[in-house]
Amino acid sequence: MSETERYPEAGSTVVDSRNSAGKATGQRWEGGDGVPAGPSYIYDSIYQLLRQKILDNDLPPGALLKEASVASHLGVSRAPVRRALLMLSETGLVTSAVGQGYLVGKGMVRRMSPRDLHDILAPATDEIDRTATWERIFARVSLEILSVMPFGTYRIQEAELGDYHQVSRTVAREVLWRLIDARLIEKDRKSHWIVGQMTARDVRDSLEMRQVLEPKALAHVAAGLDPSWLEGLIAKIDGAIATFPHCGGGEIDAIEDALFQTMYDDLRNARLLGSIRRNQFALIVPRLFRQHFSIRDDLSALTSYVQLLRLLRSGSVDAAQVLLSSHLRRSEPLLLARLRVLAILPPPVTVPYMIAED
Amino acid sequence: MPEPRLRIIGTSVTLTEELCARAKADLPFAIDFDVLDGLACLRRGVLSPESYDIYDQWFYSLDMLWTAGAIQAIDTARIRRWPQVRVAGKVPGLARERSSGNAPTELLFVQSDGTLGHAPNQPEAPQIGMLPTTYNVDSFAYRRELLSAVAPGEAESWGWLLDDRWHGRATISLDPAGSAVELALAARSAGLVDLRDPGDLTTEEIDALCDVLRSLKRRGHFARFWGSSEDSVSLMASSSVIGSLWSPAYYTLRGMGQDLIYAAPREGYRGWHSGLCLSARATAEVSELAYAYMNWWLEGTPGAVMARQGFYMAVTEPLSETLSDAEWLYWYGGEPASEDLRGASGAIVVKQGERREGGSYQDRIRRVAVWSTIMPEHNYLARRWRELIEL
Repeated sequence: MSETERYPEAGSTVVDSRNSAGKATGQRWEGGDGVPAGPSYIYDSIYQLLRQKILDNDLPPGALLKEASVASHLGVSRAPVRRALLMLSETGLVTSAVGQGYLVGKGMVRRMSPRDLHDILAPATDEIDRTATWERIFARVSLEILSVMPFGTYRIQEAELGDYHQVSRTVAREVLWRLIDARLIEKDRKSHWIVGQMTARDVRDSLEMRQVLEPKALAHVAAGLDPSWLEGLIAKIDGAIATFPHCGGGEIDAIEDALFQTMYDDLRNARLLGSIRRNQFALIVPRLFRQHFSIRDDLSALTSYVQLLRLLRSGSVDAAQVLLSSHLRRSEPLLLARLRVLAILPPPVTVPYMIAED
Repeated sequence: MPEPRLRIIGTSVTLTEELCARAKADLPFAIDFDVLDGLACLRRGVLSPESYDIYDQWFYSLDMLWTAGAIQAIDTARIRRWPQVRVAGKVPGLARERSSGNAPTELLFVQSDGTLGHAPNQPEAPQIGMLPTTYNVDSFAYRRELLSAVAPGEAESWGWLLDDRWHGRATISLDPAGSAVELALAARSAGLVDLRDPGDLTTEEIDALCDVLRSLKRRGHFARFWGSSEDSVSLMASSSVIGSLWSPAYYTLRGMGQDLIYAAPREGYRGWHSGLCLSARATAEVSELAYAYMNWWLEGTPGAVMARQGFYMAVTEPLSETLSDAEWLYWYGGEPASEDLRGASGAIVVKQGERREGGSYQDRIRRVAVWSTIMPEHNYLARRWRELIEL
């Protein structure tokens, strides 16, 4: 694996991963059928690119495509190129020229200088989705993990995680290390990857941290918030309140996403943002709860949310900070009660890479 | 239109055969009783409010039923004897007691923000989440022959449940809401763990307690864990010599001639309180029946049925009509029985001259060390408990 795949945006990846971990909770947790839903895989991008170049005759019949040179011109590693070429050969667009690479079409070899190949491929590199493989699945794995946290302790099997998400074991391990960094999992004494059960204390401690961190972050981002985004969100919450409880749990999920995730997206203090994301895991509790039970108790939170946004709109950042802090403090009893109710549910059917720990 | 029927779910603790039969005889509408085990009842209460009209179980399930939106507020204006209701002997909503676990009065009244709280939000006809009915204080029972192994002056203690003297012959309940607090009291008394509050265990304390229990279970200390009151009767009648036991089971065993002593442990009792909830899905029409049933519960008949298995009632006034003086003085007064007394099944369960352990109901209630509870770390406890059971 190349450095670019491992660390695609060196320096900022940690924060980005937490961003996506947070956003992951915006997806419904029933997801997870093993089919990649996000951006396509890098080999797929390369396959599509080469296929188009062949069909457009930019890569004429007889052109010789070698793994190493294609990788070099596209600025990617060899593994996805190998896979893309294999896929092309399965469609018959290229044929294997034993020991030499692949031949476009089935005719004679047509010599093409490295320069020619470079001119054809290099301008196309922007078309390749370079998101690292671990990033593609990180959000989904995070959500799969969050979704079992209220129910028990689980062990993650590295190889099965890779199989399930159709990535290599190396990538699976990369994802797991990122999850450790996001404090969603831990390694036990036997070096197993463990998803620990969410406890009342975890919830209390995280809310205490959020009360310290989020009002601070709010002050940082307040000035830069897009007024139309604020207006839109206020209208959305007003609509939810007006139709409550018929607005449904999904609408409240979306509102909380905007308020607690999108709100801080432009926070420049990456350390602060990282800490916030790490302490937001309990947002999964109301989300899971709302999938099964009455949303009656969410009305007072919606009222607080819209007040908070109105304060931000009018520039009363201090008051918005106070309101946010008191909302977080007051949300604790309900959050804990909902966590207790989740215990009544039968443990969820987990993804195959997680096994309940005894 | 078919005649409306009232659908009730609960456990055999309160929905005894006699109680169900009396309700059907006394009330002018059809009633379907569904008697479930405790966890199944709680799960159905939380998950399927459309499947019942009245939920009859422990007070500590109230918090979960309410949070899940499975039940609706009960209007005390429609409860005839509401002014006489006492929760564990006290006027609800007044003095707040400092006790461990979910004291039943902590979450009784519906507040103006829709949550449940300790005090009524209006003095007249407050709304409540659960109508208090019957309650008791529990401990454990042991065979009289054990006294030969007890040192002179050694007070009865929860620690006995974990004592090596009775290795392989102890039994406890499968239900963690009762058992965990009992075993926490026991392990603390026996000096096996250091616990701050048995009714609010931290995750570390739960781990420590479960480690002790795993080790005891592996060594074969427990004969078996019992799943129902009937199960506890058969266990205590056969292989076990000491075990946590509910009062109906104790008096059933006494009626069978078993020479068992019910303990008044030096650490205090585990208290519990039962009540009735109204399903969120109950229509106005069905609610009429539900209120009639709730009112019936506070009249003297159910109270007498409960008293004969050792339980107390939230309203005691009408019991003068349904309990004999001898029964009242034994069950509630803690006085020596002036005659042989029959239990719920009709068998003689108390012999003349016997006295209830712990004294009068006020004395016994005062000695509640911890209430049966869904503690804050219940989720964690439930999982660790299941691991222990499956060991």
